Amino acid sequence: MNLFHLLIVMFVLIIPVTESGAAAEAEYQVKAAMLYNFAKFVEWPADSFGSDSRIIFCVAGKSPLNSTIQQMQGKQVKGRTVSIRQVSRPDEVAGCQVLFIPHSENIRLSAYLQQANHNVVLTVGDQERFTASGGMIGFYEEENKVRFEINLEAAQKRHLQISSHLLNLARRVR
Amino acid sequence: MKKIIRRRILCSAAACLVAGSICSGVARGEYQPLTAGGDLSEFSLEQLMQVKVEKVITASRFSQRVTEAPASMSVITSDEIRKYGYRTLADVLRSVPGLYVSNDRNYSYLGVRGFSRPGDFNSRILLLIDGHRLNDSIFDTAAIGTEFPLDIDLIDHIEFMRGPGSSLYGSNAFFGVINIITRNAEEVKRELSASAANYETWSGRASYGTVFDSGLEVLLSGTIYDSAGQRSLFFPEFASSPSAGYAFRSDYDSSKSIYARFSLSDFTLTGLFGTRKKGVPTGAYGTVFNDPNTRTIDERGYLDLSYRKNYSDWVEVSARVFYDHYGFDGAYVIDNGTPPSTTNLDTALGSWWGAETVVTLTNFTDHNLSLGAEFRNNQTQNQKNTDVDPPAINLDDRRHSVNWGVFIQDEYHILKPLRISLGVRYDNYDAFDAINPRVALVYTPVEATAFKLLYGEAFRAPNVYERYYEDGFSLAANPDLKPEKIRTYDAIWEQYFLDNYRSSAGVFYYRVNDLISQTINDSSMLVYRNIEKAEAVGVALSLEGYWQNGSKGRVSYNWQQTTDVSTGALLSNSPRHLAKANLSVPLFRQQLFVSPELQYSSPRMTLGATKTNDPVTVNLTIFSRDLGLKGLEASASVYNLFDVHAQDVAGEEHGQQPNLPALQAIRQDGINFRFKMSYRF
Repeated sequence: MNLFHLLIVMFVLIIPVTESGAAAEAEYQVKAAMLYNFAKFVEWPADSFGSDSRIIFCVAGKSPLNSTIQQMQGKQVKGRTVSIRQVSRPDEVAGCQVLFIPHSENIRLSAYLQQANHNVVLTVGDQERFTASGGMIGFYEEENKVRFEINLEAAQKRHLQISSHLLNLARRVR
Repeated sequence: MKKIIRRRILCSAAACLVAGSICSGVARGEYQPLTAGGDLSEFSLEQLMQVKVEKVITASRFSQRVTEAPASMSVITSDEIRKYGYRTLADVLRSVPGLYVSNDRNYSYLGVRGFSRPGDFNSRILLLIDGHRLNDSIFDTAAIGTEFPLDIDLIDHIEFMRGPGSSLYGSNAFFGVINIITRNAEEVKRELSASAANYETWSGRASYGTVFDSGLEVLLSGTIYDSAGQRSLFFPEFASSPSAGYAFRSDYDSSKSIYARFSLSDFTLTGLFGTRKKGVPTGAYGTVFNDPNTRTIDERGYLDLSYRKNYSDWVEVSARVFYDHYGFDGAYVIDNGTPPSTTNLDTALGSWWGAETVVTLTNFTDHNLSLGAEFRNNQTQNQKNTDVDPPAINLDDRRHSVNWGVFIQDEYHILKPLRISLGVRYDNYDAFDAINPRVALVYTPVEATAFKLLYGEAFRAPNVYERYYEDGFSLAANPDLKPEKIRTYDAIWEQYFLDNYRSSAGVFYYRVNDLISQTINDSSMLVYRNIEKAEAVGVALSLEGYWQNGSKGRVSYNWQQTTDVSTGALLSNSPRHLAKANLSVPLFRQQLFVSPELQYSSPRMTLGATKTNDPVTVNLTIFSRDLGLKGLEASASVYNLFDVHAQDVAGEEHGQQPNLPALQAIRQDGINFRFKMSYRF
């Protein structure tokens, strides 16, 4: 039984190394951080913020991003404070500057996109057909890394300007 | 200043952490003067795009999360391969929870779920490189030792799937599937690597990878390896031999391999060739003990043209055509009673071509549907055995065969947290056919929790070596062999907790019918027969953790019992307990790591019903990256740090020495060292 004691001791020894842990859900950690980064490289028309000094990130439905995006709350982007809002219905998207629609909301995707098009909202999603369905930035995975594609036409229609830096990083632009 | 550095480290560590694996770009020193704490929000998009998320492709033939896969999976990354100083695929697999590897100083044999039958050249494990089947057409060997033709420095990560995979892959996916994913060309750039180790062991590698403006991606690599092996090896069973049990200068090992890959848009052309020569110091197959001229040469190569395209956002088509080559050349020094001794030449030549295609429909309503077909034409399956002097042909067996298979798999989301995966594959061979289903229920009530109930069946077709090999002095043929079958039941609970721990607990019951086993017939020749029925029952536990400073660790414990159903006796070469611990800790920034590992296997029963030793083997590697010079990696490893006497079970072929007792267990290397340096520029 010596060995098992040794194993236990070994693990107990390394536990004090622990600092506040990062979440195990790597994929959505990365997606949340990317979402925050996208906002840096997109220009909204000046009037789309109204008098609000905040930039509002909306997250539709339920996905692990609901918790990973919380880390961005209160951060600054373009001199505005990031505010996170959960939305559960398509008609709640008014006032959002960024809207993330997870693949679990696939059924209501077109309803969300339609509502978003009534406002000036950067739409981001991670379903396969996202940009084909009219979404602006779609996540996908390649070689176990998160990538994104951009539907430039959809963004331009809503007068959103996407910087060339972001376009260069996108692997696919339609 | 100190504080800022500390924060930088935290940030880069966080990226490694979340990924739970290597973060190529970030950890290679592309730090930026960041001002915030340990979250990802301050990472640039470029850095974020380098963070790896753990997905697996082996279990369903499409990409999915580990928790969603209808199997128990392990993933080993190139980062771990470097940090732990793994030299061969066998070294890597030895560290994986629940696996054990035996070595008879010629080949390495993998044990899964307590099964590792002596005389089986890993034919019950399917080995893939980027989806290309590596098991050959003569012995079905999955080469995992120095005979594995790909330099392990070219591996990006390895997926190991425990349990049967015949419903997707056909024969050989019996106890598990190893899928090796190679690195991309962009990351390799130009690399030079060299190592030196005990037993006069040297290796060198040169690699070149680039992406041209046209989109053409090229990866070229070549490796040479040479080892004189242990100067002398002592086998106590052979103490009464003329050399008093010592084999001198017959443990040598040398190999060469080349790898080339060209990708352009949806097409990839891959070529791989490797050859290895190994001295056989154990007097196997009744060869003259302590004669360094007994050796084996294995040669494996293939050309593979593959195609992968997304036809719409939810239809993916992949296809490949391939041509494969396998050559075996054994030279055995035998004593036929009248000196001098003569050489027996044993050769095999396999060549085959084939094609396969898989169509995947993802998010097709609530279904992920895969359909596939595979065809293989084994145009040459030849085995030959001759004596040099006096000349004699003992065997000249020429065969060819054709086999094909079709499969369908549907993953259906019954409810949001509950999915069922149903798959079945039909395989057709000249003499028989096989149908193998798999059913998996995966319940994920929350993202961090997964419960899996799995039922699977698999088969392995008898290979031409088992059916037709007959040399008149050591092995006899059995053309009537049938396929062996397995049914498996697994229940697994996977849980993420405290943000940075992942645990897995599982129980399993495996039942094998018509197991093809090597036995000795009335005229004391080895013959394969479908005689055994065996079962295994066991428990598998593992706990993995990673921390913000870049540390990573894993402990695992397996209990299993394998029995021969007809006799009730315990199977040989099957450890009751397996325990492992791995820990990698950064000593200085993310640039210097110390990584100890512990491995324990309880005694395994030999063929003569004796027991092997059961020491705890400890290996330790110190690894540096970008320390002093960007692009430079250096490692110093000590294997078997406490110089314990470890043994592996010997197969039947080690019991054919005239007038000498059978070898029961084969002693493994004592303490030994390796230094390695790689430079990327």
